[in-house]
Amino acid sequence: MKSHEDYDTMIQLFIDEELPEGNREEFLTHFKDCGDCQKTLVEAEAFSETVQRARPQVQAPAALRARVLNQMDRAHNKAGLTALAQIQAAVSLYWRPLSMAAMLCIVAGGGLSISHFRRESLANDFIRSAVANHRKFGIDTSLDISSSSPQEVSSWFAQRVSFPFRMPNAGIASDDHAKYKLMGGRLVDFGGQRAALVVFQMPNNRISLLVSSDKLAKAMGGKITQSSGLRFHARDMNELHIATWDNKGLTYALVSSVAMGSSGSCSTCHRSSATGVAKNKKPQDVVEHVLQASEKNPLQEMIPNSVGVSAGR
Amino acid sequence: MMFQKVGLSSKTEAFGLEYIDALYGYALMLTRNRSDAEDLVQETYVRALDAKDRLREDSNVKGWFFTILRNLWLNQLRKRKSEPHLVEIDGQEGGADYLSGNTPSSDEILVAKEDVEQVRFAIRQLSPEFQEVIHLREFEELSYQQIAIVLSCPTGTVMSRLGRARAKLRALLTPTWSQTASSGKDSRS
Ligand SMILES: [Zn+2]
Repeated sequence: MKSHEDYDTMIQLFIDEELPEGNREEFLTHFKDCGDCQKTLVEAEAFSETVQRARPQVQAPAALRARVLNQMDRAHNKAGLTALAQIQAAVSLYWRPLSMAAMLCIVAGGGLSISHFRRESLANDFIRSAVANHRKFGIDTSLDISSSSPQEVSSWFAQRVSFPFRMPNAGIASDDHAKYKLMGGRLVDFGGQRAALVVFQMPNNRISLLVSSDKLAKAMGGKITQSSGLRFHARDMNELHIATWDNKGLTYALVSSVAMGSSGSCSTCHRSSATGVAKNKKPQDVVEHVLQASEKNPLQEMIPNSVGVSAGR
Repeated sequence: MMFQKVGLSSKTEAFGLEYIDALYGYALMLTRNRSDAEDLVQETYVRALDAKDRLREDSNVKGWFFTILRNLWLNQLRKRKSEPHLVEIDGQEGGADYLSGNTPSSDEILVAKEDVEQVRFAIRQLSPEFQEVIHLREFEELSYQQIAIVLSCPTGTVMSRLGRARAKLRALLTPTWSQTASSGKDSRS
């Protein structure tokens, strides 16, 4: 028979997912009838969560990232395709399911250039930056400009960024059908330059949109959907949905939480777009969500409405 | 072909580059200095590129990068013929960066931020080895085994060190913590 102290240790192991399989059943049997242990577990879990919330949101400086990338470029150039394949093999160690397709592509692609890798890397940097900024905003919700007026937010950014900032559409925030509203934005860094982070609020969620010049990064990869002459690249990263696209010299990354679509209904975001709901077979996919919702869908309007400008990039 | 390309593009980028933020955070924790941290991370990638052939199939890549970074740092410390004074050097540019945040903008956030700030402050009061094990487990979510590899010590040591570090942290946070714990319980029940 084990003492309570033994179970105390087990509780922390259980939380850390380090409790050996053999002890698990024994622990759970005791646990379900022991009020003390249940209390301890709740407290220990809450404590861990409190500590985890204090995780600093550290981002490597853009210059450091660039130096590391340069090193890699040089290494690639030196060793040529062989090294490329080796790196691919090393990378595929932890991306097993995709390694086959990836290797096929190495073979088929043959002459994939370093600049191709560079572009991918920048595209991924942009996504990473969008995600980091999205998460950061969850912790620090201060805004450089707080306004629900798209015009106000637009002109504020237009004076502060080096690219011709455009809100995807001026009608977003005033749309009565939307449960979310424009909160404002803040200036963030991307690639050593100012980029615009636009934030929308929903009752239990947030959507953030990172906007930068497409000279710094272009949308690539992910699951591609074409609509209105634009190419949308969608992917999931942990709890987040990300959709990226380019239009008229700008590049956009839209980030929202998985929870947003978890109810399986567009009504999570839209009160009156019921007709769009039925068609939306993949609520977890922001892009499809965007594309398939009804025309009243304010997110639809967020997509730049020009046609064909940057298709086929 | 399109789909294959997608598979490649989202995975290839550059070897281990997805860990650069985490590595930089760990380097800041160790060095307490921005420029040292940057150098350390850059050197880590140089070594990793050189050594990637020796990366075993079953290795945890993130843990592997962390191990390289830490070993490089220990070597540097040895070269500098100095002991690690992680706590004492606190408050310098990098140290201030690490574990600090921006100005809160509403009362609600203020409460939450204070909580966060208190935890960060308490972590800074811990010994370097306690800080490190908390960082690797709670912030980087490495498993005990991965931490053992990074720290090159037995898993049992990780377990006990982590236990002591948490107990100490809890003691440091007790006034705050007892409130947080009880309010947390209320909302859960
Ligand atoms: Zn018990």
